[in-house]
Parts: sequence; C-alpha cells; structure tokens
Amino acid sequence: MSSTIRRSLPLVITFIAGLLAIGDYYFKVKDFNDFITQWMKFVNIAAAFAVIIGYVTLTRIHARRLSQRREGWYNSVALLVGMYAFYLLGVVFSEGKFTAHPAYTYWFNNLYVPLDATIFSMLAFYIASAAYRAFRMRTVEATILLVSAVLVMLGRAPVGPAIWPTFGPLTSWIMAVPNSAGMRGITIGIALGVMSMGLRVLLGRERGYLGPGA
Amino acid sequence: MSFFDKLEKVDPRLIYLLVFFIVSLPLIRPLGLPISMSPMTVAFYDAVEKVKAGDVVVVSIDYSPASSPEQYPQTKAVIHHLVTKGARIVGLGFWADGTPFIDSAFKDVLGKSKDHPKYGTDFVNLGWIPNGEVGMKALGGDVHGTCPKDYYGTSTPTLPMMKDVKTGKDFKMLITLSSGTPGVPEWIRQIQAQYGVTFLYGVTAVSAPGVRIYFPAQAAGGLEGLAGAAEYEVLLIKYGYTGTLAPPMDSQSLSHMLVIVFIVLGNVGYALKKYGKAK
Repeated sequence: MSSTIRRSLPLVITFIAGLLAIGDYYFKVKDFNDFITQWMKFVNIAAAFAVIIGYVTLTRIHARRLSQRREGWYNSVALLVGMYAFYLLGVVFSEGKFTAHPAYTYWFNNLYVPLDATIFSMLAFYIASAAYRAFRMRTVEATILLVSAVLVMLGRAPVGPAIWPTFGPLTSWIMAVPNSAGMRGITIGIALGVMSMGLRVLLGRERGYLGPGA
Repeated sequence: MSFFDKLEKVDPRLIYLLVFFIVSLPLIRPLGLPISMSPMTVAFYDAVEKVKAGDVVVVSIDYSPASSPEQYPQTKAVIHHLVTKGARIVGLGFWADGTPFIDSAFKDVLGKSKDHPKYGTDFVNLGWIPNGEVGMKALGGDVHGTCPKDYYGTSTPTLPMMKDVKTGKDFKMLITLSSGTPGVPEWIRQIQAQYGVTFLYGVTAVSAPGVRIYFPAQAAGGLEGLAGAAEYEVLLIKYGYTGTLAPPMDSQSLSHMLVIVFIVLGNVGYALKKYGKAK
C-alpha cells in the first residue's frame, strides 16, 4: 500500500463515517436510518474486540516489568493475577453464564467491591486535609469560594438545616443559580469546541488521532 | 513555631485520625439527625410517582464498585419505587464492572432475579452494553439487535415484555445511576433528546454540580449523592421501604463539621499571622 493511500484512506473513512452519523441525526429516511442502526451494532461489536487488545497490551507491559524486576514489580503480579483470575471466573469456568455465574458474583462482591470502595473512600481523608490547606481567604475570589463551599457543606448534610433551616434552601439556590449558570457557560463553551474539533477531524485538518507523522 | 503557625499547619495525620473517629462513631451509635429535603429529590420522586402500571422504565447502572456505597442505595430505592408503581423495568448498564449490581438490586428488592416468577414479564436484566455513547445510540435504534441476549443468556426477543420494547420510542422513562462517562450527558444526547423520554438521574455528590444544568429542561429530577439517596429513602417510607442511610448521613454531618472547623482554624491562623505582620 502506497504511503499516499495509507495516509488518505483513514481520512476518507473518517469523513464518510462522520457524515453518516451526522446524517442519521438530521434526515429521517427509513432505509438510511436502518442502515445506520446496523452500522452502529457493527461498531459496538468491533469495540468489544478492544478488550482483547487491552488484555494483550496489559499482559505485555506487565510481563516485561516483571521479567526485568522493575520497581513495583509486585504490583504487576497483583494486576496479572487479578485480571486473569477474573477472566477465568467470568469466561472459562462460567459455564456460559459469564458474570452471572455464582463464583464470579461471589468474588466480585467479596473482593472487588470492598477493595474498590475502600480506595475511593480514602478520598474522605485527603479531601478533609486538602480542604483545610486550600481554603484560605487570600483573595476576594478565594473567599467567595470558601464561603460557598462551607454553605454547601452545611446545606447538604442533615446537621446544617438542624442548626439553621435556611441552610437547605440557601444551598439549593447556590446549586441552582450561580453553579448552574457557570456550568452551563462552561458546557456550552466545550460544546462549541467539540463542534469545531469535529469539523476539523472530518475535513482532515486535525490528524492527531492517526498517530505521529500523519 | 508560633501558635498561629500551628493553627495553619496542623499535622495531616491528626486530621486523618479525627476523620476516622468522626466517621466511625455515628455508624456505631447513630445520632438520628433529621433528614431535610432538596428540590431535586422531590422532583425525582414526583416524576417516578407519575409512572403508570405497565410503563417501560430503563434503569441503567453506570457506576463502578468505587461509588457503590453512595449509589447502590440509590439503585435499590429506585427499583423498589418502580416496583411499587407497577413499572416494567429494563435493567442494563454501560459500565462493565457495574452490571452485577443490577442483578444484586433485583435480588435485594424482589428476593430473586432470574428465578423470580415475574422475570421477563415485569423486569429484565440486559446486562452490559459495550462502547459507551455509540452503544446508547445503537440501543435506541434497535434494542433486540444491541442486546440479543439478556444477562443470563436468554434470547431477548423471547422475553415476553421485550416484545413491546424494540427501540428508544418504547421507553417511557430512563433513569441512569451514574458516576462518570458514559453517563448523564451521553444519555441525554442519544436517548432523551432523540426520543423525548422522561429522564432522571442519580449521581455521586461530586458529579452533581456538573449535571444540575440539565434540570429541569432535559432531566425531570435527580438524586445527588448519599444525601439525595437518604432523602429519597425518607420519601419512600410510605411504600414500606426501610432505608439504611440515616447513620451514614450522621457521619457525613460530623465530617462536614470537622472540615469546617479546620477551615476556620486555618483561616484564623492565616488572618492573625497576616494581621500581625502588617502591624
């Protein structure tokens, strides 16, 4: 395959795929919409195969770390054992029930759920410490942020309204008016950026996704 | 180190220790603080109240075990409420490691999942759907094609209630319990906006400010974090629902107070030091 085709073919495929997806949104033509529905299912199936690529890549990276005894190699052992143990439970030994198999469910509920939830819950400690360090009345903006944070913290826990019932409505107002106004502005800005980037990708002006040198 | 410096630089280990005790104590001995109501939770409840017997409601589990302490209580309460309203529930999920929670929620609320006599007629579990937003688009276009089999390996078109559920047009309501991407914005783009489905969400507290912007135009209501779930549990008492979140909410109350106390201490130290220097 010549280098021109190798460079142009992905751009042509991206352009056609993008136009089809956009067209499905704006044109209600039964045959065309049905075709897109079938195509989406194909994309779903293709994406599921990415799991295999993920398995191969992770195995290669961590097997190399392990064989070279790099720093933290024991973490790689834990990852590989965990990954393949759940693969065996959920696929090989699942008798066709996959993640619905009782053995998988048992280990999921008694190993993965507590571990993952514990890691996430440790955020409470870090957030408490970080809030204490970060919230200083250094500037007017920082003071507004601090006051809002304290009001929302009080309003979103039962203790706030128990101290003063207005903390609840005040928090609701902060969330519904200043917070939503700011977030809507940010979201609309992001949406415009995404549209602009999408157009650049469709027209082949943005080629970063093709890899280096594209 | 001066007293003001000490106020500003409390050892983090002391904070960790206090957080541990403050969070643990109410779990052992609850304080019983009353739970107030936020408008988002009330709106969520009111929207589900409007569901009629036989309406098809999709409940999507879009979270991982990390946020399950916050979101699994939301899931159970939502399923319980929908069951009392007689809705036909389609459980599914776009987060691979969240889908076992659908099965657990059905078991916790109804006693059984696949072996329940009403499985297939009143509720189904379609399991995980890959590929995030594209998967949502595919689901809206062709439910049977996107999920040819349910979570337990049964052919989806053979499930009695799924004979009426073929595309996004057949959904009466969509509820996502989500803690990230794909989640609320993706569902709004691919299903709510395209099929006009009544949309509700339950999210983690940290996600709430970001998705509040969709209320009330796109989302009819939302459960925001543990507080939202606890409020919802209170509203469901009239349906005989026994909640579990009052003690965790006491823990949250005390931990918030602790953080506020430390913020105040830090700022007192900062202000006095600054004022002292200026002098």
